[in-house]
Amino acid sequence: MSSEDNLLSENNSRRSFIKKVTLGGVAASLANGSGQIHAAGSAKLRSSSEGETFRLQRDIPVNRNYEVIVAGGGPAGVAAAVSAARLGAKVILFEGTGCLGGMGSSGLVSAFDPMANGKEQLVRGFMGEVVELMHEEGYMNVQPGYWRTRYHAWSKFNPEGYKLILDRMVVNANVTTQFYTKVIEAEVDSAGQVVKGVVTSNVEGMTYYQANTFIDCTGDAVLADLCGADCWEAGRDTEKIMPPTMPTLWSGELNLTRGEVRKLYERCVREGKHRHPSYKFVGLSEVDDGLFYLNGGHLFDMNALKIDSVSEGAMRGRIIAEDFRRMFEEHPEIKLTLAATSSLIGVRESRRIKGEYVFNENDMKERRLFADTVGVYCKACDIHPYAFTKEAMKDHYEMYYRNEEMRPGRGEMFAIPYGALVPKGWKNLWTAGRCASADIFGQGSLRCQPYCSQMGQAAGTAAVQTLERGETADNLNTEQLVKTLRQQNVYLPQEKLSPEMTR
Amino acid sequence: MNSVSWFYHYLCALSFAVVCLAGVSLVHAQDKVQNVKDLNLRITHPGFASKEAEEHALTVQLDQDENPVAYHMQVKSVFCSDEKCDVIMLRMEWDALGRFKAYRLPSGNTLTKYDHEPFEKLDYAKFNELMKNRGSILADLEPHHIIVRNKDPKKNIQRGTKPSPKEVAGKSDVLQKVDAISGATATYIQEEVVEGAAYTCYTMWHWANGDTSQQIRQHAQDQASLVWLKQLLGSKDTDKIDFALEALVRRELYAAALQDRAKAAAQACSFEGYKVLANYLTKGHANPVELYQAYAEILRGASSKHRIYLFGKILNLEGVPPVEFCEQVGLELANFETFYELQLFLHLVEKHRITSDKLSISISKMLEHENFFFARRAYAHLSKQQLPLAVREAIERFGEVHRNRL
Repeated sequence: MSSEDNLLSENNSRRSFIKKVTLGGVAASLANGSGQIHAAGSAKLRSSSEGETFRLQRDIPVNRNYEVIVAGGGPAGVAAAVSAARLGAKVILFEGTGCLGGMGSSGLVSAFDPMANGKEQLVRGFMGEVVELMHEEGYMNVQPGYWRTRYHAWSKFNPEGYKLILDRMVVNANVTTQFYTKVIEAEVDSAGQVVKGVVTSNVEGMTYYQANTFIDCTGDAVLADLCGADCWEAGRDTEKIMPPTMPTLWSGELNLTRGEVRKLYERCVREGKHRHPSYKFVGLSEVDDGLFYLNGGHLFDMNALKIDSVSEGAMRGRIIAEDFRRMFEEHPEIKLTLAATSSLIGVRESRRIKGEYVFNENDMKERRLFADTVGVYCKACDIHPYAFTKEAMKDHYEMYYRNEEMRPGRGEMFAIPYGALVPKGWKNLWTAGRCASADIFGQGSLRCQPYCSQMGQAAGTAAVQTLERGETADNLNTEQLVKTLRQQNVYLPQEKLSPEMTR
Repeated sequence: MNSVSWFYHYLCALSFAVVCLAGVSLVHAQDKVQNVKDLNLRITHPGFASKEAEEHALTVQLDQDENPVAYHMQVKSVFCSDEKCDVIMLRMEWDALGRFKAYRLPSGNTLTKYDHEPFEKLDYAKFNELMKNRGSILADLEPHHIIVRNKDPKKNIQRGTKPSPKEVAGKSDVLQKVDAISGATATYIQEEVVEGAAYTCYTMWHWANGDTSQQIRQHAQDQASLVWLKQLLGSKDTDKIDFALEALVRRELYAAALQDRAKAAAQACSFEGYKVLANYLTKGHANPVELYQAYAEILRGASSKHRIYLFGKILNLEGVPPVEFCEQVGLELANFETFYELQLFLHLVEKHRITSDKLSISISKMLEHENFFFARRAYAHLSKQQLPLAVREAIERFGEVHRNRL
């Protein structure tokens, strides 16, 4: 059977495809007519050593309509998809939830981290466009100075407005967007350097997508891991895991300052009123009239790469929210009703790819500006306390508030090099977002929404450059990339450019 | 105001030491002044005790046609609540567009710092730079970002000021930082303002560039004669054009002659001005055919950025664009600089299922575009259309040649 025979006819029912299921095999495989597609990747090998396994074989439809595949529709994924499509590529974006925006929408993190350094706006390009559009349409709850100028200022917004704006942007750019769709498998070449296609799963079943380029914006490096790209895993390759948070939205009135709420929380923690206490009260801010975003509590010891842990964490997050509700109820100056807990947990770290370059602590301390810088930002290294201990809180304070080497001052910036987006040795695979290649200090800083968006824009633009110029991800002319990004109004202040990426 | 009163104002002006900040000659503006009037404007200032607007007396200088030439107002250098500051009255001056121009100190007076030390030459240089900076971060700050108030006003702490050892006694390094006496939060203020005079800088900056400037601008827009507005629209000064466009929207002036002038200014206004212009034309046309004709006019010769903005705006409007509009834009396709412009235009056409042979022929010319992506997008559009024979043949040829890349 030729591979063309596998193209799904719209008239064909998926049920007509042969499904073969075998018990006792080693790895999943998929027949596509031109041979077996074997999923490469260490994940499969690990699972085979865990005991009895299930071998799955089935024929599934093939789709070859796209040049760029983006997995994950958070800030990085949307930026990657839209940037690639605006340059003319045929792009499909897979998003596991029912909306775009990731942590800013499903995650309810309704404030963008600092985009300016007190002297100039650093995060421009696609993200700048998003924020300006949201402002024009009344979804930002701060004045433009917050993202255009102010130092270390968070720009609050209404997450529902964010969703609408991103929907419009993907539609206008002609990005095919599939919600409730996850990438569940990947096919790579025998050398383990080229991704040939991915398998997705959604309400219609599974589909095999073949394409030229692939961008992993899942946050957890799901696609890179399926491909077998090397990654660091929090909890496996690190001693500790930075705790996530489950953000919540509240409606009503608040007549206390943030500092007063923090003190109230600390008192309640001391009095044992919180079942899962933390020393750090992250924040409570009004993101729209009468709508408040609480980034409260920590899910200590939750491992975002273990499903049982994630599931328990989600339930624990809702208990934390309930404890906040009770705490607010007791105070006469707080009249807040819990409106929603986030459907995405605010994971801060899970996987980080091992890239062509690893953005690291020294780069931050030196304020290194790379020739292949693809994004700049100004945010202190923000590694949250690992545990509910005074020592952990002290470590956090020392790093976040006192370590000026790791906190860009006014007019200063950190720079993200292109090499941090490319899994080492891979030809047509990029990662963008919190799973980019960085050490724990770099990741503790660049993981925030606006910077993920910058990485996504760079990855999407790089993917199109490979299509146009026949280059590969790991051997891309970065001088050309920087020039193209600058044309897209991305702020890249480095004077010296180089066709070679920093490695 | 009679001539005696005018002369009195003039003498008052002379008794101030002039600190002219802008390059614009005030003398030239003074030549045009034929009359002066007092007026009251409701103004907000973050230093006011209440967040409500307060009425303030200003003076406007007018030309022979009663168009504003300049404004000035007496203000306090600082809102003092802690018995620590020296308050002096200054005269602040703005031009007819509401842009701050100069401040004048009473003869023999000087600005002072928190500790009553007079400003030195370098302090004035920094202060003058700050006052000229309309984009200063002070715009977004609240007074509590500047002053840490204490129950005892004498113990208030001014951010942007290095604290005395006594003030920080007993506080840990960490608390000094997070409480922002002089640390992380305050560092950026410290660099923006004159050392030891943060609150004066804050107060004065807001007088110069805050709501007062906006209220003056709106007053001038309300007072402007149509002749003057037309002159401004015809100027090459982006600020003047933007001012006039805002005035047209504010006063709902939709006469055909004014709209023509506004459209003619499309390429000279700023990007923000272009947005105002697009909104002005949208509000000014009840008839969609005329509205889209106006859109077509301001698209002609527009930059890529402006085209993207306008296509995005049109995509958000209800109603179907006339086919004639699309045909006119179709003639401009060769000037599109980015793929995204083409994508947005074709998305608009496809969304509303607009078809015409003329439009198809224009789009078919993109099949020969040097950037393959442009050509492929045109192909994707045309391959779904009923096409004239010549276009159909071109489409088929393209499809044959590029069948592996479609």
